Amino acid sequence: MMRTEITFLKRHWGELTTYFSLESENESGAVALAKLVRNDQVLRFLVRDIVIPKEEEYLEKTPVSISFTADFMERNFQRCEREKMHLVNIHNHPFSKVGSFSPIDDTEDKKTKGPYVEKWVPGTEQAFMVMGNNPEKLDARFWSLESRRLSPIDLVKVM
Amino acid sequence: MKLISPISSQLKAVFDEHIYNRTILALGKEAQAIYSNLRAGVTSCGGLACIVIELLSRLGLTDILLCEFDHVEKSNLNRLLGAHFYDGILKTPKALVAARNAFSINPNINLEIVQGDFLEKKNQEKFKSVDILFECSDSPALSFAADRLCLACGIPHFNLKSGAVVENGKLKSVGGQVILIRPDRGFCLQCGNFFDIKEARAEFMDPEEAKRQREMGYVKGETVPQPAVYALNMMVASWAVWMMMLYVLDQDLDFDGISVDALSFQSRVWSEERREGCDVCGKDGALFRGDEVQLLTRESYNSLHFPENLDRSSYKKEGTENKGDTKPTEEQPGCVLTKKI
Repeated sequence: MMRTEITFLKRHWGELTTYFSLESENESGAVALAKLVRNDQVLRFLVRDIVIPKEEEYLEKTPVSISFTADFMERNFQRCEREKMHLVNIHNHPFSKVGSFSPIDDTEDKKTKGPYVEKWVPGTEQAFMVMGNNPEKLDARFWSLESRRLSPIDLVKVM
Repeated sequence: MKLISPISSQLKAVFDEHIYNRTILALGKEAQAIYSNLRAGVTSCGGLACIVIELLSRLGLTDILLCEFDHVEKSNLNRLLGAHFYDGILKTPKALVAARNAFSINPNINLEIVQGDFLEKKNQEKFKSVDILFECSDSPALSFAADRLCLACGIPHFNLKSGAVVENGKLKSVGGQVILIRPDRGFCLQCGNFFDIKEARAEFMDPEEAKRQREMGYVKGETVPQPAVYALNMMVASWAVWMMMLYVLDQDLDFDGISVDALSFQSRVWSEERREGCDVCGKDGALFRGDEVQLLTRESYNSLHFPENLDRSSYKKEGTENKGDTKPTEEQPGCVLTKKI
């Protein structure tokens, strides 16, 4: 069975969870840039950098949704193209112990983010991760370029 | 290492609670679930590796990838777990012996055997999918290759060695060591200068060139039989698997290696110096670069920058933050750095 994974170094995981712990009212988000390992048994996102947005790079930041400015996302897309990186979109649900994708997330990831990156940043794999206020209670998935649908991530590793 | 299973993960741990009852009593059901889901790689099926494979099978791992090209000789029977007398006569492949033993413990184990040389690209590529790797061979080239592969692909790995030094017919030193190499710890086998890089280079050369280098004295002589003791291998393999068992449960292993001096019945943990700028484990090196890293293989050896000599002064040292001693030097009793094996 093909296994799908996102792997973080401890320092990146620490950076991410510390940032998410700063805000308890509204959702927060970040982008992880990753390299890939892929063969017939594994698809592994290896996170090499965490991009934390500045406050002004949020277009919207409420208890139920966030969105980033086009400039912020474009900068990340350009890095993906230039440095041959892949994307992991991460956000949190601070009001919930367990992170699970909301219907809003489902629609955005399936209808907008997945197809958009596939079309405009070709060859870039894209994963999504949502964390609860306990960062180890999370959910994750990726946009499969083959099947053109969202598929679950099996394992998140921190080392 | 923290292993987090996302809510919608399709990876579900299935294990027989009766079989693993005593492990569960010791470490808990969650731990058993983690072990059952691990995919482990073992780079050989020799004296150390066959014990590691046995331990992993009994621990409940259901997914193991093996690579070995060699077959059983009579001289292996003193230490090859699961090998029968007739395997030495029939020259049974070592991988088959390891597999036969693992299947006798757990018939449902998913054991993938690569009957070949780990230094060949197509074989090494398969190991990218493992969660954890045990490098148990006595080959410096293989140790360097596994090190590079694992750091590039985000795979923690254990390097196991055991050996003895006999001088004038007298046992001078006997022991073993396990090195745990984790991404982002600031050292690897290359910049740590653990093994003889000239010996490793010789393994990549064509036989004629290797012979010429040996005649000129650039590398040591032909491989000669080395002293090897089953009980010692048992000890080293057990340490390695125990370290792995704690490491995957996110226990803080605040050291990089353990060395066992079997003559004085002493073991000690040690930490390696942290460095920057290494082209394997440095942040601008192969670390976490995944598929874009060229693996150290027979095919790539000529085009890959693989240093002739290691000048450790080119690596900037960082402060050692962790507890434990520094790694043993060659002069210390029980030291079994590969050079001495």
